[in-house]
Amino acid sequence: MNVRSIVRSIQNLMRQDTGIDGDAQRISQMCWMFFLKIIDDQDQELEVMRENYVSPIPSQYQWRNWAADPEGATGDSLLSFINDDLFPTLKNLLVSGKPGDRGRVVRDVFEDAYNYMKSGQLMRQVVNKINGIDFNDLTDRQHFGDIYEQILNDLQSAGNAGEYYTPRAVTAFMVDRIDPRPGESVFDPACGTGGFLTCSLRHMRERYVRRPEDERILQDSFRAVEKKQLPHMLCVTNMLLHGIEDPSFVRHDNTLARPYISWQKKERVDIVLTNPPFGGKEEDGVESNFPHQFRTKETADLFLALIIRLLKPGGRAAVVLPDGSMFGEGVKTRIKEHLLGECNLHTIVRLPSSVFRPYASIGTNLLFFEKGEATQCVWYYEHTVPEEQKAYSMSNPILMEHLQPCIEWWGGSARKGREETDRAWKVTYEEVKSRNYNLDFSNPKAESETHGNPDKISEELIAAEANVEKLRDQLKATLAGAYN
Amino acid sequence: MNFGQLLTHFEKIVDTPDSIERLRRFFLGLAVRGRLVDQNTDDEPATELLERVSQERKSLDQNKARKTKIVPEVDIDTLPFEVPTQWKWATVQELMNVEMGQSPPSEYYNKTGEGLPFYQGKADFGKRHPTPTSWCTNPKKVALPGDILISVSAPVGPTNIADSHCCIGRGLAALRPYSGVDTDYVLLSLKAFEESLEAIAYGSTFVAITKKQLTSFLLTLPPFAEQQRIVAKVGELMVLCDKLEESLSIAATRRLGLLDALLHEALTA
Repeated sequence: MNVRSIVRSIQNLMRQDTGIDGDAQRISQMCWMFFLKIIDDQDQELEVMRENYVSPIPSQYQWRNWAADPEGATGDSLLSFINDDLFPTLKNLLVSGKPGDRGRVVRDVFEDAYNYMKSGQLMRQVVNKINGIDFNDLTDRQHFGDIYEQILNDLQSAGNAGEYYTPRAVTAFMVDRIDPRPGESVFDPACGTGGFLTCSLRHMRERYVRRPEDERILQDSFRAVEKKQLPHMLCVTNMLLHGIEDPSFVRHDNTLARPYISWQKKERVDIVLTNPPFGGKEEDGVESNFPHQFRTKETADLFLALIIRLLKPGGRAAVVLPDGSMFGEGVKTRIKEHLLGECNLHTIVRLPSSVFRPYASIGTNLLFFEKGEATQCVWYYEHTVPEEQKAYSMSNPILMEHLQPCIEWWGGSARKGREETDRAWKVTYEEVKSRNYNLDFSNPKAESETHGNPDKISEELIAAEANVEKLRDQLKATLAGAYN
Repeated sequence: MNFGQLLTHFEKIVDTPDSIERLRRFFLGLAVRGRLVDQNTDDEPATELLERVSQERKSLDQNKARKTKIVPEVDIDTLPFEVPTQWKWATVQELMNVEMGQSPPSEYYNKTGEGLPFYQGKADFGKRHPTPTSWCTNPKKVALPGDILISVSAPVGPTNIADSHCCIGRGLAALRPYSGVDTDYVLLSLKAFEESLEAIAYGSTFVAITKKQLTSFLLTLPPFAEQQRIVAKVGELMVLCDKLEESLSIAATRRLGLLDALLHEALTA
């Protein structure tokens, strides 16, 4: 039975359980169950490959011992084992604090995890299905990885859960432009389900990883924080699926809950890649972690302020920000002034509002900047929906190939030879400053296209009316002829 | 008819695509009243034409099993309007062969193209010719290519021309003008009189006309040469009307576009 049909049958089984209410819960349930099997499969391999490897999970809770036997516990006894035994133990797992201790990952995942299923029988059936996938088998794992990716993608239509996912074309594009290399620290302070991390992993593996040391360096260079339990769990699992042995660098925490000034030089990073949450759902205390001039309820702006601080000199970042951050006033102005003063904001790619559908329909912007020198001018690139489509949607999402024209225009890593086109235009620092740091510049050419040049239209109208007159006169003449 | 005023106000009133539709009907009205083209005294008058036509009918009749009833002479006082001296009012029956449609039993219908195309009503009509969606292997009433198909029920009046042998159902009648009566003239004249035809239809929700009502319906007949001149003139006018309708539409769109552009500028200045 192939991986896809296994996953499908698991989803169907879960639908029958009364305790699972909705897509987000079903994904959450699937996640910790898969997680336990993935960890166990990997444990088994590590036990063979390494001397003295011990699984962080106590033996009676290892998947191989309670789940692998299809005739194993089921019904109420399985249910109480999960709820009263396994969960509490894993939530309170003792961790050694040593690097590479996978126990930490397990504990973090189960800290806020929840067992939604109410039927032990159904759970046993689900467990038996999961046994059909061997996570040590590369093909199985890759297939599962693809399906997992699809499941994460589907989150976009699961109401609010959509905020944890950035369309793959967008993350791939941003990673491609930033071009991280092994050895450079890569940080996503609001990592969601880990899209930027996996794209960076893939990017570096494809281009730069040649030796096992490279892979080790690579795995050591990531940092990530995710505030919410579900995406954190999904992200960690995602990391495991991508061959990260110790995903504990994905912290279950709130980046903004730390005072701004507490972030020190040694914590600074080479690269920040992120899509911070928009919409200010932080508790009141959080703002006060930030200096006066940066205090705002809009989380996206707080993140922006923090990111500027977190970059090493010479460090680079690519950040997704909503239109609101581009033109907002007050504190937003101060933050943008700070950005343009501390960093070279060299490129802004403006995306159409349908990119994040169905989760949201807002205009978003990709800001690319480097720390060190002040901005002299900002290049804008307007990405538009391809001609054949009216808008992007779940069935016709934005694809990496759609962004190819932008990549061609980009001018390589030195950004050479950029020209103004019908999609790209340049704005000087002075212009931004004179507008009070309002970065919301529209495409000067598109404007004339949608509304047109009044003089030109006026000419066309006069021509059209002349035509009307001519035809009308002809008709009138015929009529007059008939009259006579 | 206060023509002079119409001409004076022409530009003011013919300024929207809707007004063109009314103009089209008006031109047709002029056409069937003999007011659109000039009469030519050299043309063979309609009375003589009708004489010949009636001979042709009699000879055709002799071959038929059932003789067609002779319609009595038309009463001048009941005529809707006056026509030029060379013209004549005549009933549909006097001008063309009328074949009322009949729907065969449904077991002979198919959608696979076997047999003759089967047309039931206006729904099958196209711009000029109908498009088949059903076929019939046991047709009762067959129309010939070139016949005028007229819808006789719900709605009454619309016409098309058959472009092949076809089976006609109860909702249609096939009209075959006799020689000397131009098919296109009949078509435009049926269009001109469409409202009156509808008016005599019975029924409130499901309107229809009977064979008797159709065959005794009065149309105006010009000399043959004039029929052809009228057809040509109407053709020209319809083309002009189409062009004018389109250009009015374009001008309206441009007008709105200019408004949008100016407003946008004013707002963002």
